[in-house]
Amino acid sequence: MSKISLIIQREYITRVRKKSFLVISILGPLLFAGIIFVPALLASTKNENQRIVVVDETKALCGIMESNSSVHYDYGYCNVGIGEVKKIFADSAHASVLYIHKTEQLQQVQLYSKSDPGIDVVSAIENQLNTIFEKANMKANNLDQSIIDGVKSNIKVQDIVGNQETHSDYNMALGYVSSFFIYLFVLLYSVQVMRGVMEEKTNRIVEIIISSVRPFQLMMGKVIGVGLVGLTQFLIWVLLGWGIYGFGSSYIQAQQINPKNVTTTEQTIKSGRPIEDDKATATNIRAGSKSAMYATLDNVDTMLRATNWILVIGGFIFYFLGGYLLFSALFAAVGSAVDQDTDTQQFMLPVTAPLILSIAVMGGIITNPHSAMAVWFSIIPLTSPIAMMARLPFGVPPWQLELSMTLLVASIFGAVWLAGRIYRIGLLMYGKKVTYRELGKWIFYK
Amino acid sequence: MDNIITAKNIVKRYSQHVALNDVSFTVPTGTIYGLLGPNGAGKTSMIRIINQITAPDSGEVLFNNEKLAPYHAMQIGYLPEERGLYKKMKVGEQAVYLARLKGMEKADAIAKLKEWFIKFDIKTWWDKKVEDLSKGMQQKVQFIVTVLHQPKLLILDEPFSGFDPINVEIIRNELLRMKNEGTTIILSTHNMSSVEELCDNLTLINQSKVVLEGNVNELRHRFKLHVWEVKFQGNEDSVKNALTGKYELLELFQENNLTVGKIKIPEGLNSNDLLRTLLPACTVINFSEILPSMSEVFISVVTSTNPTKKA
Repeated sequence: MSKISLIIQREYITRVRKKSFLVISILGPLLFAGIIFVPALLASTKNENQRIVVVDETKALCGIMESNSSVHYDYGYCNVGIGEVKKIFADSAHASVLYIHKTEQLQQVQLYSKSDPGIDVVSAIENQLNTIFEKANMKANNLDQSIIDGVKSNIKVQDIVGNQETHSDYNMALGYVSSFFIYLFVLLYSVQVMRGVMEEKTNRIVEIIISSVRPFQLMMGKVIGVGLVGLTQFLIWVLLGWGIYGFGSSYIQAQQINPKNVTTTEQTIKSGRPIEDDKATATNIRAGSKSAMYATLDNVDTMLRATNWILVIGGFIFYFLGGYLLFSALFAAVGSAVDQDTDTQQFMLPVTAPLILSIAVMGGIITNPHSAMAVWFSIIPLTSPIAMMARLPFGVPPWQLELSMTLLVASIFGAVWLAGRIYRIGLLMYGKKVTYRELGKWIFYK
Repeated sequence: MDNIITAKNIVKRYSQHVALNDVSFTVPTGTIYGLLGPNGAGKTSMIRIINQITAPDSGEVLFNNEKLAPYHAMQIGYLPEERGLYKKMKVGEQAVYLARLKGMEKADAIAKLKEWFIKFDIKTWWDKKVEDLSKGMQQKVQFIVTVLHQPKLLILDEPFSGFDPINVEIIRNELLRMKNEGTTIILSTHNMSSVEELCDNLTLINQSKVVLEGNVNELRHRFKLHVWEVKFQGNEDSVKNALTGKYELLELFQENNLTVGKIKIPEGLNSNDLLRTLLPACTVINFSEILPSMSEVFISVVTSTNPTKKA
């Protein structure tokens, strides 16, 4: 067996066997699933702190305002005087009291709260009140609801590139997620390469090994071995993520409540009849937001079909591996140049800076994927793995893609050569604080 | 006799200093060769060049009369002075890995390792993690890994450091056994008694240059101070009187009911002359020449080659 494959094998097996690998493999997808599902679940859960007691002197709004995800109206004290309600409010589980006083023309209502209710709650109440009064005003002026509905318009832009419909928002999400993965993977595993190099150096096993293999073989063996560990981990994430996604969406589908309920809610709102049953409202709300979530998942399916997957997956693999090779070689050189952890900082900064920079500008790139900044960042090799990946789902002119890929491949060779020169000298340098000037000299040592 | 290593005019420069300045020497096959010198003299640089860890700026090294090439690394076993192992790896697994890097087949490596583990009485260590072994235990494992692939040339940098006297003896015997089986050993050490005991030839490097090269016994003769040791029975004073004026009596002491004297013979006289002077004064039991220890040779050469005066 060739020596480099022996090294790859050792690097791979020792890492995959570690407990931390198992933990990260399992926790990773759970974490991502959490990022996706938890906000959705939170949004669909009614917050008990936002229970609002309605005290209505006009009596016109009792039971009319509809509870939603931000607020839940309690009409139990609708007819009780505000002074009395305020007295018992302090000890109740309610967050606020909405006081509608009797007046000729309602301009203002008061919301008494135990703590700041937040902008969501305030605007939800304002919107509902305005809608109700607008409708009432329309009725008073003999304007039929159906005429108003007929007047309203809801025009959407359909993106068509070439002959195909695109989805800018989904492209953004896809660009964001895939380039973020590249960032995460490159940083996580390049740093592992660096730590591995430092381990060998500080352990002093390195001199034994490089008397059997060339330093370059050792470096590349480590880079490839750790890269394979990363790929394995990524694959586990994808499979587990897929499983969780499948499970999550089927769970939500199964939980979706009988469509009849939803229509009832709509009918009730349309007819303007007060809703008396509190519980029924809550259930309906939950059903409504779940069906919205299901709709989102359904849209994801539409997007999955509309994307140029060959380009995106091909590009992802290319920039994923390319970015890793480029940065892990540089990190290997950093690891070889230093003796101890604390010395890594000065050399790590210039290496990590392009990665952090590309993540920082990624927001700008995905909102405007064809701007000069986006184009330049996606062509310059140190930022291209992340920047180009963010752009790819939107479609990139072939010459830009070709140039970016060519430059990346060329700089991988350059970086590996450079790192190899530094590495072979650095490995045997002990007890000396290395300067950039010195690193430069190492490159030219025989 | 064939030479396994021929170093010709090796020069190695680092940015601030010259580590090796025109160093040449030859290591005869099947011998134990001492590579000596004070700290920072350039020994490690030379060893790294033979191991092809670094390359010389000029000059060349021949291995069995061939220009040193990467495949020669398989025929060399190297134990560096600063040595370590992967701490988290198990002993057996790690030894197999290092052996395979030296070109051994897995099954062969395991079989040979088991033999060595039995020989060194460390069978139970196979599945232990390296970090659970003491430093001396780790040294043993490192030694085994160095010699496992039966290299033609062994390069050992301070092989005895970290070992207790019992293990030093074990390693010494192994080295002599391997020498008898035809292995050439380059030994770099500051332990002069082991040089005297083990080495056939040596090179002394000081300040990047070879200052002494040759056979250990010849060198000790070359640096001898013409001091002889006499063990005798008889009156001390009559011996002193007989020597006065001609010979320098360096020491005189009692040992096992005998008197022992160390006497320096001046130029122009020889040991027979000394004997003739002594015979009338006492009964000579033992008469032998005292050769300088390698330590004394080392110190005298290094101090004489260090420039003390500056122009």
